[in-house]
Amino acid sequence: MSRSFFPVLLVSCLLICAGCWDHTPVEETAFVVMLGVDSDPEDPKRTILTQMIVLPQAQPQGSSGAQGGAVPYYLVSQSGLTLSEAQMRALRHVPRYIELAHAQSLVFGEEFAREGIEEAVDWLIRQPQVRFGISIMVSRGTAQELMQAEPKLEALPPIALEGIMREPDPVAFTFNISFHEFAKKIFSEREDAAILVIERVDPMMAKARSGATAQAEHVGNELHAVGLAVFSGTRMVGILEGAAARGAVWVQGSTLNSINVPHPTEEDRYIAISFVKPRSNIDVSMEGDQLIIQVRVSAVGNLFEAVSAEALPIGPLIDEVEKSIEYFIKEEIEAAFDQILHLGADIFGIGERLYRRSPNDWRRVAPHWHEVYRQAHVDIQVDVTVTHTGLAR
Amino acid sequence: MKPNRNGIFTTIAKLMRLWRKQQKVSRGSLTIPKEELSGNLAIDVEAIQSLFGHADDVIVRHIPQPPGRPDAAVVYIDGLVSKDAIAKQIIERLLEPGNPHDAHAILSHVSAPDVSAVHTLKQVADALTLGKCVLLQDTRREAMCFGMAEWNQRNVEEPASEPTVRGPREGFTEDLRTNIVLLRRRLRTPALRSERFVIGRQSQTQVQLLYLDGIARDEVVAEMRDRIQKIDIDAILDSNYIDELVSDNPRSPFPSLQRTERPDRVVADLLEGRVAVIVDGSPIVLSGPTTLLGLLQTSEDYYLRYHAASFAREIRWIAGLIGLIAPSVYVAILSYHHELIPTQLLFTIAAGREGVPFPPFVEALLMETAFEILREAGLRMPQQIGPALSIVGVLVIGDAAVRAGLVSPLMIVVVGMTAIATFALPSNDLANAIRLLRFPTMVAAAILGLFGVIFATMLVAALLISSRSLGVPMLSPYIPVWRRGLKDAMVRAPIWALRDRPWHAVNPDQIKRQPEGQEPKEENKR
Amino acid sequence: MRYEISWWQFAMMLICSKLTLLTTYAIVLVGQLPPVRDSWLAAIIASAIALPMIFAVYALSLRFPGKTIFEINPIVLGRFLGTVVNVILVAFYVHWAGITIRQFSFFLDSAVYLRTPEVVFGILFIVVALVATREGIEFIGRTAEIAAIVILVGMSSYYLLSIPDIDIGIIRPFLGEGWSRLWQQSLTPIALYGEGVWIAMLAIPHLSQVKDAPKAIWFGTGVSTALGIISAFLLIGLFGPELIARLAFPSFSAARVVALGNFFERIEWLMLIMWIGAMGVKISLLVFGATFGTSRIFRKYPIRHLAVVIVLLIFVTSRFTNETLSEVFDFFSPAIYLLHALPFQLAPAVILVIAWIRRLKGSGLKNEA
Repeated sequence: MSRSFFPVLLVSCLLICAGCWDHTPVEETAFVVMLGVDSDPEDPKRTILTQMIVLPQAQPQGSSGAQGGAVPYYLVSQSGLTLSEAQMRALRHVPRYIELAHAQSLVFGEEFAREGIEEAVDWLIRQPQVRFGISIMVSRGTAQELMQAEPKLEALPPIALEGIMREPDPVAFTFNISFHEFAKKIFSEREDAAILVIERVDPMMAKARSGATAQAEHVGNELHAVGLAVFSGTRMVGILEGAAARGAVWVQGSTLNSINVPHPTEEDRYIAISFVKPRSNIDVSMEGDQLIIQVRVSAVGNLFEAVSAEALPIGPLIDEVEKSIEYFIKEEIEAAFDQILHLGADIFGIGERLYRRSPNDWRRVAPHWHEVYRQAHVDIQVDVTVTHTGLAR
Repeated sequence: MKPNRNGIFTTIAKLMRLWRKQQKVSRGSLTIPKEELSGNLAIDVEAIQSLFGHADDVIVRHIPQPPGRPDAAVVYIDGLVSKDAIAKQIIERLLEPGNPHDAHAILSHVSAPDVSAVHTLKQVADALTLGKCVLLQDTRREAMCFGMAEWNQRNVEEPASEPTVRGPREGFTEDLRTNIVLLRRRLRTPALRSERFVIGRQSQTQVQLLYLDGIARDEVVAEMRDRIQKIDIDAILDSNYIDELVSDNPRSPFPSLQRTERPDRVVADLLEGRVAVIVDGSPIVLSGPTTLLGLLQTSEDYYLRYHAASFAREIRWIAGLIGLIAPSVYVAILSYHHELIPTQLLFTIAAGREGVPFPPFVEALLMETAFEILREAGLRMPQQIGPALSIVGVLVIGDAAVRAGLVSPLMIVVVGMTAIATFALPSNDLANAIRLLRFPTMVAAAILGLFGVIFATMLVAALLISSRSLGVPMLSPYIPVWRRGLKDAMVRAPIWALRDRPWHAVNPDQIKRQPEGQEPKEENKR
Repeated sequence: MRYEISWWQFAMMLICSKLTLLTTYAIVLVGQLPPVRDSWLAAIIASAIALPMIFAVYALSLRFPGKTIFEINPIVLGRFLGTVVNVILVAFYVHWAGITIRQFSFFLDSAVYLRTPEVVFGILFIVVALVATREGIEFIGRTAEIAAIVILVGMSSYYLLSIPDIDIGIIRPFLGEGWSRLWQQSLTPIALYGEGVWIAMLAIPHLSQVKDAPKAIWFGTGVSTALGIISAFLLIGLFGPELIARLAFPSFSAARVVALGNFFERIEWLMLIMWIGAMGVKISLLVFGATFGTSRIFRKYPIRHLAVVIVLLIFVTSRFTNETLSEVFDFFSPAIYLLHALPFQLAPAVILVIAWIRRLKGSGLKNEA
């Protein structure tokens, strides 16, 4: 070996004469951090791909400090019959290699999502650089508009989105699914996907002074998750908002930060409850041709904020409080199921659950599954225990 | 499986051998004739003097004798012998009246402790160069040699290249005798064998092969003896000559024998069945067979608590790996695999690299070369200029290069890390090999990215896998696996658990080093 | 010179060669698309079928101690027929080496190095194999030790990291799709686990103690079966059968999913590292097999010289097989894969039967390999 070691190394090194094919130094690469896909309003066959390219010069640097105020990215939009064509067109005027490896999120325009996203998903699977952990979402309006937001705290919108999805917003936290889960769901016939709907908002949403006039036109620069886009197969069929979205969170076994319930004794007053140890269980069975979905949700609630002058004398009233919370949650879950059953979107994987439970039942109903699903009977049970009294800590 | 069917090659080989033989004969004229002493004092003295070209440091002191007795002469080389001793122990005694004229009877007069008789001119010359004093007598075809060697030599000092925090601070010197004394003092057993070879047609260097009889595997000793005997060379100026001439893998950049300046290290090696080679005039002692693990160990590993020692060993492995591949990984990631860098860090790096005119490979090559030049300069430079150099070096490699837009800040970190990592390796030879191999690895990284890095690393690994040291695989005890050896490999087990010597160098019946049950009992603490 | 390897090295060779295909092409799944949900059972079925084929080699070696298959053939089948079979075996090694090189270079080419010509990797693999073959099976065995450890550690770490993303419930319904699809699924892996046969043909005669061979076979096949089960289960649980049908390299894509915190992502490079050594071992073994066989046919012509010729032959072969990626994938369909692999994997068993019928036994006295 020691005899042939250097010859071998030399032969390998001689390959350098042939060139370094995949050589793309950092300074010759344009990094895309966010992708947006819209349908072209002028030609329904075409698709618009918007890519957010980072400007390294504008990135705040360690010692030299931030170079004040410059937007650290710019957007490139091109349309094409296929997404590859759209990207190729962008290559013509971007003077560097475009690299998708650092793409953090992919946004579908609302319109595009309604028309079907299979093309985009398939394109993304075929990009060997893209990480599968990339977050997928739908924008209210077009993706392009959404990507023009300039969040204040984070330099880049996708990083701001990541922050939103991390903790504070329960809907965003629960339904932040990564690309491979999304692809798995939309390609499965027994499960449908639900992803977040993102919207631009003005951070000063509530104006203290009444009669602020010209704000309706103003488009905000911050990003915000407004609800859930539910899919049936590869098409988006509807958006769950408000109570229905929160209901979906409960079914997923996740928890809301806090909910308000009316004060048991005083009128026009509310108490806020926060929850720990949420648990949910979905049981699916067939009775004849009737699909029965049993949802059980349990949680432990803490009295979080009693909007009351004195400590809440809650001891004797605890049952009443629990009941009203349970009723409240149940209503939200019902709202969620009403909508998804109506839309025919199986976002909780009911079909998959049925298949796992009894494959024979599934095979029997599979041909007309959508009908069966729409007419499913949903049975909801909520069990809440409130532990802490309302004494301030 | 040697090919012996292709006739034309064998013919050529035969011709080559013939030609070499002729060369040997012509070179032979430089060697000393093996003439015997003539027995005529004047002729013999003249012969010796002409052998040394009438050099003025070959001193002949004639000792005239009363008639009837043969004249005598004392010959020695100035500076190699103690003149006092010669005067007191030889010349004074011979000048006494009534001294015996029989050569052997002289021994009853002369008090020098080390005496031998020689017969040929060559032996006389050898004795003179070894610092002996030769007594020639008329009518006698025999000369007496007295060991009177004495010359200025370095004291035993702390070895500069292998300092230690805890542990003995003695180091070998250039003097063979002193070095053997340092070993004998630590290993007071008659089993310590020491075989003498004289190598070097001109230098006549003494080379000692040391081993512990019974413990060292006989085949290993025989192999080493055999290889040393085969050496036929002009001169041996340092132990590296021996190393390169007996190496198992002459083309490999990795050392094949352990080199150390520390007697305690050599003693430990001898106790593990290895053989040691001491070369006169060199403070570096070779021992072997060694392994890659051996090259990554220090004697201090055994002077610290085993937890700390084991940790230090892991650190050295990591340092070796960093030293080999860190710049290549930098090149590979920045030119090929951007996706491996966390997004935020990537943008910082990209910002740092904006405006750097070179691709990462050239950048890395530039900085690594600059560092190697600095390192080499640091070795050669007079000590007084040292601080000046380090200031310039810091400026060149550090801030100024970045400000000048030559390199990116991350590159500085990588170069610095690599440099420090190679200095963490205990074996200078290993560090040199790694330094050398770093460059082809960088080239591979520039061509094929991480695949290239891994490919090059695999080649280095393959090189090590096929390397041997005195017949022992370099990667032992990992490859091939020897389970009991793992106790003293990546980790160092506590002393009481190190019951086995390494199998490859030890006679099979001597593998057990100590009986079981050396582990102190916890109850004893009470 | 007599080469010797230990049973451990033999086991590591088995692991290396099987895991390479498992980590690149997810071969348990790729035989039938979309795969069955119970694909992990296919790994068990396949290795259960493949094990007797490997043990046939061992039985043959016990019958003819110290002799390789290339020396056994002329004894059992007669000189002419035996040489013919030997030539066919060598052709198999050459062909299989060519295919393997092609598979691996296509994998690198389409997964990581998109713009690099695929022939570059072919050349590199061939160079590695040449060096290793000239060094002999002892060297390959030692390299296998490192490579197998690396691939085992790499695979288990990335499987561990992917556990949070996995839908464990995918194990139900057990056998929901029936036996016939499962059987269909286990056809291709049979040939994968049967690859042990041609490794055993090379390794068992070179073992320092032939009696250790069963240990190695059990261990090597056991570990690779376990990893086959785990990888099939994890991939199905991660992507679901429908998505896997759309992925070229599911194992590789799984590495794209895994993340540890926000900084340790994209562990494809880990796959690359763990995989290259094992790949080298596999190709080297195939090239060594071809060279060794040829040298036995031509009265022990020195391997060091023969290797150059054989390597060139293999390189040319690799240029003319599986010329596109889709051909590589088609090759994994049960019909083609089994047709190419099984005749050779069954050969030792057939020869064993013939030897048993003819009551032939090797004396074992004059074995000078």
